[in-house]
Amino acid sequence: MNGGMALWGGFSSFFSIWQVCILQISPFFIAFIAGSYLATPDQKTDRGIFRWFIPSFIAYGASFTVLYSLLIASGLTISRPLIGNIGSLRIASGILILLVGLYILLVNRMPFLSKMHRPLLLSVLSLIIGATFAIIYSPCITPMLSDIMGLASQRNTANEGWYLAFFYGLGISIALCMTSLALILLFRGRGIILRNAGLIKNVCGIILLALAFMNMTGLMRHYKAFVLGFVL
Amino acid sequence: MNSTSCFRNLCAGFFLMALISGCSEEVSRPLLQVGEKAVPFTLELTGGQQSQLEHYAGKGLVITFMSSWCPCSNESLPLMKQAHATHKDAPVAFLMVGIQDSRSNFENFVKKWNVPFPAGYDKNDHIAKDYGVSSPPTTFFIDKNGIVKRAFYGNIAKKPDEFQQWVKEIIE
Repeated sequence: MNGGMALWGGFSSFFSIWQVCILQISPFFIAFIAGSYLATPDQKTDRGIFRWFIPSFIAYGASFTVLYSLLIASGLTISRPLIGNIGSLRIASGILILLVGLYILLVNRMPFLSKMHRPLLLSVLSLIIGATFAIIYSPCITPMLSDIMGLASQRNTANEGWYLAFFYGLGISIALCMTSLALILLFRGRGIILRNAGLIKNVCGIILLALAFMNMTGLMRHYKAFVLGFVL
Repeated sequence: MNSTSCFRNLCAGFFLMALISGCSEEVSRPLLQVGEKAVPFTLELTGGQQSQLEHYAGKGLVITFMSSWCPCSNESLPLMKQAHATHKDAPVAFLMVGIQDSRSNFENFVKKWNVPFPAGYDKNDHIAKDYGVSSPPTTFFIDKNGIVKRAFYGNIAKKPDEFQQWVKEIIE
């Protein structure tokens, strides 16, 4: 297996039966992107969309991929404290997601938040969302991920496993960002979306608050069991 | 109440909740590694007895972490049962640990599959954390000296030949 194969493995897992597992994060990322989009003044032009969202997708992909691969590579010394403290990290992630959710809810209501709403801030928020989603995501073990985890868990092959996990995570990120971009392009210019922009944005914020709540209280595992229960 | 105070109150409420939930977290322990000694554990079995790592001293142990809702756990179980039947008289034991699940669902899962070897529910996933298990199913092969010889992540039904070989490795 090489990096390209791992990238394809992660990417294709998003569009297969394993999507059920990625439902742990995908609706919430889409809520974040859709909420951010509807809060963005420069939302109607292609240039505006790309200026606001392409850096965000890159920031999300970078932080998600790095943390996801480190959490897979249990054989690496640097990963051990992360995996060992995953419970605390999930609670911290819940707090950060809560703040992002509140931001989405309140950005057009509070003047100081409206002033802060710039492409750079959106990229920073995406960086945070990427890191937190890598922490809260407990991946389903696809056959390819099984092999990667086998390599990544042993000290003598941990670097190779981490490298492959990096590309696997990158594949998932690319698929998720592509889906979100497609959604934004679908939103653009739709009268019904624009007329209900406030309501949709609020729903997106509330969805993120629900995710924050599930992570802070440990209910996330029940959510995972619920979505995966449909496969059985 | 204006929007600023509403924002402030919401933040305060959520931070308080986070603080309360954070209080229940335990201090982490080092993670298990292949080639190292297995981490001692105490597991309450579905029958009410307790199972500890020391009980398996002198023989191999296949310890598998599963969840009732996990498709790969469900697919792995027939092979696990078959291996248990094949090695019934060999110095190797099988143990199933229920993780990321509710106790009742896990107990129903054990009943549904008529699991012929000991199984227990890992409350709050303590054992899973010590063993560095992030997702079910994950299976560890521990030899008679208590050394972790191998860890397998995922659906073991996809590797039936390797599985038999790995069980044999810890018996020898």
